[in-house]
Amino acid sequence: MILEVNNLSLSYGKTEILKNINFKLENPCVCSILGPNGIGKTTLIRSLLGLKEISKGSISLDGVDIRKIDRKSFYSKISYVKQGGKETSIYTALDTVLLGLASRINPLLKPKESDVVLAEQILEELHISHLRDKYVSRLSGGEAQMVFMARALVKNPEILILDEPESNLDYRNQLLILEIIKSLEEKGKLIIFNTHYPDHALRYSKKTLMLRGLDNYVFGDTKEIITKENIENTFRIKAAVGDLKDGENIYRDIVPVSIV
Amino acid sequence: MKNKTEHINIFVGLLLILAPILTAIICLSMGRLNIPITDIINYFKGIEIPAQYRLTIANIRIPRIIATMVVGASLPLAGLIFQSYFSNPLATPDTLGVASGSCFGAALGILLGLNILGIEFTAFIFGVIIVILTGITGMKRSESKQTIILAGIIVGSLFQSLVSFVKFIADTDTQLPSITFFLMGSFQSVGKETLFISVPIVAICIFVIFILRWRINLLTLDGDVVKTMGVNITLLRITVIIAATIITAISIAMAGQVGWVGLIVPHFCRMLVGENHTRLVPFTISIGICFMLIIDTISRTMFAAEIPISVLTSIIGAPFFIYMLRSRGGVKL
Repeated sequence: MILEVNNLSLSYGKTEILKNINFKLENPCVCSILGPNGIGKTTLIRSLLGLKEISKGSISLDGVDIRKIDRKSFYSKISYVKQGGKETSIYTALDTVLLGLASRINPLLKPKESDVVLAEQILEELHISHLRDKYVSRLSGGEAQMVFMARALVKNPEILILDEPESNLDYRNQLLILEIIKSLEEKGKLIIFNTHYPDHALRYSKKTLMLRGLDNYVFGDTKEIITKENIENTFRIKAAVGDLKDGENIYRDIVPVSIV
Repeated sequence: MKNKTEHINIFVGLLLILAPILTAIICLSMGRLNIPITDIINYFKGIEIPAQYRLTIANIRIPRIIATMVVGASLPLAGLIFQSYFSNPLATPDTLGVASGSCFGAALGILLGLNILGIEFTAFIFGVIIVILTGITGMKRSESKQTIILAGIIVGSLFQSLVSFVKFIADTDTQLPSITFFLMGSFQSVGKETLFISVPIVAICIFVIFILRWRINLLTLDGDVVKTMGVNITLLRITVIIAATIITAISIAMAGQVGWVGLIVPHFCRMLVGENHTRLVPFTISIGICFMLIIDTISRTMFAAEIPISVLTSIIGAPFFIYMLRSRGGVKL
């Protein structure tokens, strides 16, 4: 599956947010989107999801303009998880996940036994079977985020789009989400996620898109994009880049040092 | 294990159907004239019973009981739908102003001398206008769930003054009394013709909501997320909001404004069965009917004169709601 963005421009009313954005992604791949607050990261992923109207240019899936794809078939290929903590559900985990199958379930009927099995399988896969009958509103932020991941994945989409999936989560929950993203890539999926953590992007994503405002952006292989220089230019800070050694492993880390 | 839950489901389903029927039969027997239950059963079997009983059952009690059941199913169900639709636990036909709008429509209908179908229609039209007005005022560019209620109160009070205006220009000898009595809320004056028109329409709307009950769960999801579910959410929203508005309007055209039931019955059912509308919808209908039947029977049997329904529903509703707010850490949706 090839996702292609051509000369994309997005705006709110007369205010342009992004201009002439071009990039191309093919599965399997993890792509991270980095950039300061308010630069248009969420707007961009909403446009990829067909939720934000395109002002100019186009987005295409396997060469077909996404605006021309029938909604039902488009949303069977693509899934969305909102920023951690931005969504709640009043239902139990199982009922929440089942809603992810809504387009397959007859509008006049309840979910079938096979739908329930599918939902239970995905809970099992994400190791949250024990949350099955718990109310999502009473779960911790990390557990709730896992349930929303399960809801996005239950329809087995080709593309998963996440808006800051590790925001508001502790270290362990951050890693849980990131490991799921990695395992999805191994299954051949295309994952795009916004993040405020350059080190997550470095460790988990193959491609990176770094937004700096309007038509000023860089896109390419993560290792070439997330450099000291790019980070400093994009976030207008001084950063220190270094390697952390832990036994045999070496981890690249970026630490913000001071404001320019 | 699965068999067991299925058995329980069937049992609960039967209970939900039987409870309103049994309550209705008991309520049929009660009143100024107490009729033995056996005579009521005999009446339905077609066995001869004393004429006085027969006439009371056929001409007074049955129309009233049916009207009560229609309103008892409608207002709580409409409240449930509005709560889910606007993701607001306080949304009801009253707080959203829909009730005021329908009251204005009905009063206008009486002023224009329309027949019952006409009155129901004007009540519905103004109910819809209110939903749209409240929706536009309260939802635009606002994520806050409180705004919708504020908008409802504003729009509702506007229409309340319009009702006053209608009363002001109404004929003081004929129209004003009938508007005033109508607005107080009562099942006393519901005629058979009214029922013949109202019952089928309400039945269709409730049926539509009932079969869509699993899908209604989608209404409470985040706006962006629900679009990515690949279902026609706009069609679902429009269908259920129209159905809920119709049943509200018909209830009000039939029995005037009956407060509180749209709020407390759905919340009581949430306490019983949780948030899933698959279960919430049938429970709300069934318990709503039973509740309204009991309230109406109290209203006509407790004192020599009939107590207005709204007086009773508020006396029960307000303390219950306070209890719920305090004991359950607030009402959430």
